[in-house]
Amino acid sequence: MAPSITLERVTYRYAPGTAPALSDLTISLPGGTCCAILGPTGSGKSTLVQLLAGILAKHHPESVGEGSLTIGDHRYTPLPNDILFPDVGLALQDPYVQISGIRETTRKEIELTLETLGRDLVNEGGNIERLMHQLGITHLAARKPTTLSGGETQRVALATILIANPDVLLLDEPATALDYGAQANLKLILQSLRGAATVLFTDTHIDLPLEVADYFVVLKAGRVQFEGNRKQFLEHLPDFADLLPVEAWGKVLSALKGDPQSPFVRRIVQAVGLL
Amino acid sequence: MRITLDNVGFSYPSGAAVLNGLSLEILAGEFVLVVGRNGAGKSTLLKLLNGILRPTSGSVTVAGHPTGSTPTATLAHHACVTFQNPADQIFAPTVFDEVAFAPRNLKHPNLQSLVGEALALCHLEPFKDHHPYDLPLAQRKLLTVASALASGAPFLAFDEPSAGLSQIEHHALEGIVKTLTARGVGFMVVSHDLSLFFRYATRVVVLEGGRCTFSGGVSELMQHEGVLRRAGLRLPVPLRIGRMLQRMQ
Amino acid sequence: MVPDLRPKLAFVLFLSVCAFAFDWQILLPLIALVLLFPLALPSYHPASDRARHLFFRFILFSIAISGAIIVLNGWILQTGERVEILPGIPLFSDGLLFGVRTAARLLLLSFSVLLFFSSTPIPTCINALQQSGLPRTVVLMLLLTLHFLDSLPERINRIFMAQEARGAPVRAGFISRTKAFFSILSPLLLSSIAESVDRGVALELRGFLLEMAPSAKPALPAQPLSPLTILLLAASFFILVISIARWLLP
Repeated sequence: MAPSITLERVTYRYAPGTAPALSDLTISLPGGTCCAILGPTGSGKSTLVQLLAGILAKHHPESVGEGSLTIGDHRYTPLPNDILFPDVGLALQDPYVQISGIRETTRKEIELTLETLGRDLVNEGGNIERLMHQLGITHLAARKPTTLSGGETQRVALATILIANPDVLLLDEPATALDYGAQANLKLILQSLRGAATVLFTDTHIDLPLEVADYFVVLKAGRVQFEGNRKQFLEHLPDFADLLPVEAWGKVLSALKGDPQSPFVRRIVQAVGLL
Repeated sequence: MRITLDNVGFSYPSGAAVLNGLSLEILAGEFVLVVGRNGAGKSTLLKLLNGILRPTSGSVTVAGHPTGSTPTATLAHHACVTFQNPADQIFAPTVFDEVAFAPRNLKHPNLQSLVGEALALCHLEPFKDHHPYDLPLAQRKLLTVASALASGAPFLAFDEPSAGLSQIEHHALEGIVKTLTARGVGFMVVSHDLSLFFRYATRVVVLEGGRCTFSGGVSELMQHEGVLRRAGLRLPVPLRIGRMLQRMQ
Repeated sequence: MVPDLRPKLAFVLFLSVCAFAFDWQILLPLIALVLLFPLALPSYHPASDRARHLFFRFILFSIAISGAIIVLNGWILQTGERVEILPGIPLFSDGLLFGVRTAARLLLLSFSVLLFFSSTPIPTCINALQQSGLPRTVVLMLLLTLHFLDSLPERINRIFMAQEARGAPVRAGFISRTKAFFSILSPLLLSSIAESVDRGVALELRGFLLEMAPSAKPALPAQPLSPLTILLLAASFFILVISIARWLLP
């Protein structure tokens, strides 16, 4: 059962007295949604997902967090100070760092997660193959994980987290090194998880979000600039034009499916300077 | 300043053949965009340009020097290549030292101005005394770009420079390309981000199965949706909007 | 199945104890024996070409250092008979013998450790570590250290290539390589440590430090110690006791 996620007035500082990385965040996500967290570098996206994964407190012992976090039925006040894996799985931003280097083949690297969790490799064999097929990395099964290209590494890193089947899946910029074909694969995976898991992923571009997300949160300097569903997001899009690349607008057109003459679309296209 | 690849083949010692019969000629000041699916051999192609990798068959000639018999350090005067993973390149204790490494070794007389400009173009000026690993990943990527800029080489090659960059860094990258192409600096960029570079590319090369299956202008490529799709790309959005608006008239 | 590394570890222990208990008359033949192992015994064959390469380089390096130690000691400790090995430089027999003993100890210790690592691939060490029953936090730290050491040569090579691509003729010769190596060592260490921390976080996020529920733990039969291991441990203990006794009693 995919849990709902609620943040109430969450503020997080890496050290007392410093400017908060997250400020008074209140976000409410129904279970099973796919939510995109958008914003420029330094807006707090990575901090947010790391906080949800429970990884921050241990590695930043002087950090100060306020507010509460509720995942499903568990309410965490103060904020979680230990990881919540495998209920909550996080794929970090840097794909290279997620390759442990202690397994000789890519398949064994993915199996490592299962071994760590004490799951039966024989039972899960089919799951591993299916996941590798979905991500398009079946041909890499026998390769040494440290010799892969950026895009291949990113997909393998995703596999090591996805294989654990977490109820809450957190992805920090999962598509940076992926070409359009691989992004399409990722989109299919995220769509297949809808309802089964609550997914949050961060991104600096809105290509992938507009294709998969049903809920959007835009962060700016640690604060929520916008929170809402797809329709509301599209209506507010011109408000954060400066954060989003030109390619966004074409997606708007296809998302609105059709009336290129509508005043809203013309307003966007004008704003972008294409007319 | 010309780079010629003549029927180049490359296989790793393990036997995997990555490139096969690749021929390409890059003239001074050209901006070549290299596209293709993951694993098509794009990174390998870049490493062949400055002798990091030597072709198993055929030859690569940079400004008249054959890469097979010229040391990489000499070729660096003409072509500066950067890698995809910043962790494979960054080693200096400060951002400044990292960027200054190239002009120092290439014995440039105006080191300070080269480094200063590279830092300014990449918006790294405020961090010049910081340790590179204190910077977030996106800025470390820009740092590798700055390190190549400061070499002053007339030809620069980048492997997925825009991967992992957010909007602000994208703007910086675009500014760099604009400024340097105006000065006649040649580029070879491997990228799946057509939208960022399509305005500046004088030529697009599609690598498929180790061969060059398309080499031509951007507008020519845009006519071949099939080639685009096989290369794992989509039309840059402004072009799609443009087409849509055209059809609206 | 994970090969049992305990006989090898027991052997390293045995050799270390011998290094301190015995004098050069026994140590030198032992060193010769240890050097023959990679050739004679399959379990001590170098794990990879790189390991073999490293092994030989280290042997040459150690011989050079040993020579220096012996000569230095012979020159500094001016007791015993005067020996004329090097023209014009006065060396003395007591000092030389002391140098030989010191060098032999160092050689045996370092060769035994080197032998272990050159014949055991790092992933095997890591596997054994994970199944050793040590607390997970300790295993994680050792694992990160091992991985760091294992990946260091490759990282250094990649950085050398990046430096060459920026005009530094690093790979030209032994001297330039060594110079470049020392200049990048400190920053490389710092950045590798930073990366190790991130890698540790990534492993943690995959549940590495979680205590598994008892039912979820795979049932591993506790392997009994092999006769060889018991023999080596007993021999080490015995030698240790005799040496201490000899030292305590006149």
